[in-house]
Amino acid sequence: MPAMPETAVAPTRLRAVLLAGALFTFFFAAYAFTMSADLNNNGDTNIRIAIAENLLQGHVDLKGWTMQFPLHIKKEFYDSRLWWCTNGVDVCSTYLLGQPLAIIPIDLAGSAITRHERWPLGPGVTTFDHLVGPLFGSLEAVVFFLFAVALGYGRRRSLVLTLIFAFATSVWPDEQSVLEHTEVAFFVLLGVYLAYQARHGGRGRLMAILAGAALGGAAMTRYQDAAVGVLGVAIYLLWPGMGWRRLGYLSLVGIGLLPFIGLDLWWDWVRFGSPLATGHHETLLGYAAWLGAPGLWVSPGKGLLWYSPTIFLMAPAAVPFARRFPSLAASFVAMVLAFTAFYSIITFWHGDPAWGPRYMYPVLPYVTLPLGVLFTRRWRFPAMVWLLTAIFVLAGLTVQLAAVTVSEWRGWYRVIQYEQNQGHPWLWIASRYRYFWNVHESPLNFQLRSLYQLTYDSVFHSSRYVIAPPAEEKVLDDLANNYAINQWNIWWASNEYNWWMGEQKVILGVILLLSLMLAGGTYIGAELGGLFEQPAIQVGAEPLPEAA
Amino acid sequence: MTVVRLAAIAVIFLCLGAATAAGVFAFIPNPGSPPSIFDDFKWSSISNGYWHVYAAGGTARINYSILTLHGDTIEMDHRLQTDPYRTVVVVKIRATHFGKFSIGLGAYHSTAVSFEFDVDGAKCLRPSKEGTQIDILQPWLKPPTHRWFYLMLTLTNPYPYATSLTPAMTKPVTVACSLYGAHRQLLVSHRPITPPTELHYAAIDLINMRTWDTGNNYQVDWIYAGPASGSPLPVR
Repeated sequence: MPAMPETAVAPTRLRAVLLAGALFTFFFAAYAFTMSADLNNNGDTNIRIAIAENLLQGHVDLKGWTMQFPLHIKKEFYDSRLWWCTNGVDVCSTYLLGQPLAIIPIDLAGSAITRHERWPLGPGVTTFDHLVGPLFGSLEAVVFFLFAVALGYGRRRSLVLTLIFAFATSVWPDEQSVLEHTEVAFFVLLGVYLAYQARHGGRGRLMAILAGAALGGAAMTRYQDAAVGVLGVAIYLLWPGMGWRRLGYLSLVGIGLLPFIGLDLWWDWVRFGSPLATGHHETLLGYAAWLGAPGLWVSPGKGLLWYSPTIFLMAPAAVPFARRFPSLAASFVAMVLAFTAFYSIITFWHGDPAWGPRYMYPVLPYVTLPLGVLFTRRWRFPAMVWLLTAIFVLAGLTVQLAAVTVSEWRGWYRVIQYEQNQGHPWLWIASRYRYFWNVHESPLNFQLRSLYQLTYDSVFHSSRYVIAPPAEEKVLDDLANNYAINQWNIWWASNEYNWWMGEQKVILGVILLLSLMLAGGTYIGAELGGLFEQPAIQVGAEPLPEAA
Repeated sequence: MTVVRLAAIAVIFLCLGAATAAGVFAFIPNPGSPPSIFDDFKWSSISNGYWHVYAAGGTARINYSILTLHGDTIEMDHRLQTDPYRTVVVVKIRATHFGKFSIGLGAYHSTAVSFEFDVDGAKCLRPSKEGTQIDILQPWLKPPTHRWFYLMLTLTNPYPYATSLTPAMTKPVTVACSLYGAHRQLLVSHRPITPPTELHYAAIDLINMRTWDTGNNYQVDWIYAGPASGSPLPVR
């Protein structure tokens, strides 16, 4: 059997499909296993679930929703998520169709299962709807693995890099948050991967059209992020050595993208009466970029570097990666810069209330994929490189573990408490938050301490670190009542499920997900460990024919 | 190598078998919500999931068949199948120290209508188009500590025979709150009408008891929730 090329996923197509399936099963089960018990989220996902359910009933507006603003209200008080529909009476959401369309089949299945199980519809269906986070998170991890293999890192190193990406960067808490950034990150990454295949693999035209369609998926989820993806793909396809063939590929990307642009324009028209009306009437742009950009990258409260410290490893990896893949590196740099430039001038650049700089999470693949060169290059001081890698990966893993096991609202409680203790009454107005540059107020600081506190209370059966809101303090009281800030955030470890789902169902769910993880993990281990390779035929083992 | 390969395949199929078995067992439906509950705290426990208990600085303890809610925030929820015609919640309660206590009907982590038994009085709360309406049944300057009371919250379905809801069905649900004294004598009853209650009866699927703020010390002897026919007190 000929040796498998370094950029091949598996020796046969069937085994490649099985490996991708096993990877998806493993990551999906792992993400579903660590799903959040918080069904309220920050409200954004619930609006998109409402859009999905209203679409199923034939409405584009949010039935039953009302919106009232006092007269002469300032624009900063406007809700960026809602606006009046064309008729001026009904309420429509500013969100695009991407996540609602992905939720619809899950909602239908979840609704049927919930009825069958005789669970209460509200929490039952919402729990299933929240699987859209693990779904796109695991798809993103699979595409990341395929991309890493295509770059020639080798399958085992690609798997290690994918595990780092999936569990030691903000991808994990991002998929757990069920916000739409995971979905858009998946589509943009798929688009870039398919563009890479168009340029380097076979069937370039088909791949270019599919890359456009993938970017279309991003465009109908968050069009601004898709625009950055288009920029990245264009740079990659055209530079260096732009020729008619490459321009043709870019045109095909545009053709693949076009139907989704049409869908976006139609969606704007049916909601707000014009193809170009987005429904955003709040003050959107105007934040100082020289404050926003460092805020997104290095501020103690929101800096992506602290939320995903593996990015520090780009210091040794960036130059070797750029030398090996110059056009891909240019494309990655352009996308990271474009994301930073755009979101740094948004008035609510921080995306709060949320965990970390959520708008920046789609750049994570492009600051993690280059780390593969750390495993492939010969270093002068390999021990130091390995030690640094281990330290930053461990730090990243700890941050993500704290983020997914403790409710982010516990950190918010502390931020608000700190602000109020400093004499600043809290208002839920995104443009007025001011905790980002104070290291004492960093949610990371609070979250890591909360991880210790909940561990302490669990191990010693104490209530030493239970948070109790002060009397007549509405903001903190609401926070403590609406979110389970005093218990573990993972669904099976909290007591938010057993009372309506039943204790046995919780245990069965845990067995189901762990079994799937183990099955997927074993297949991946066996495949990458070479267990499925045909043994080489040994001449000595052949039975000698008897003499006539 | 062959043995290891076979072992790996065996593990994969074993895990898939376990996952399938778990899925099949999980697909056996639950008994569903009970049509009524009566808990005198003789046999129930706080920690077995019979009640969903969420605590933030408060404690819920059962001693000598009395549930004591002490401290700051406690939320206790229980699933309930509403009666098609009318659903009643009754609780026998006293306070050694008043703070904020309520019994309520609602949905997951959301109270729709409630009867508060607070440091400043007994109140009936319900949603309306103008926001939450609070009707004070009985104010008090000095809270009546160490005395048993019965709180009754009643919710009546305007469309008891409907099998599906249509936009034309705009009649409001009827909320009533009644406060009884230690000898089951009616002290005060209130059935607010204006503004109309803004609530779908079909949206109700749980009862809850809550305390919040600080300094609570309430003792609950029993709680009933279900159809009026099963109520320990006559329903008005």
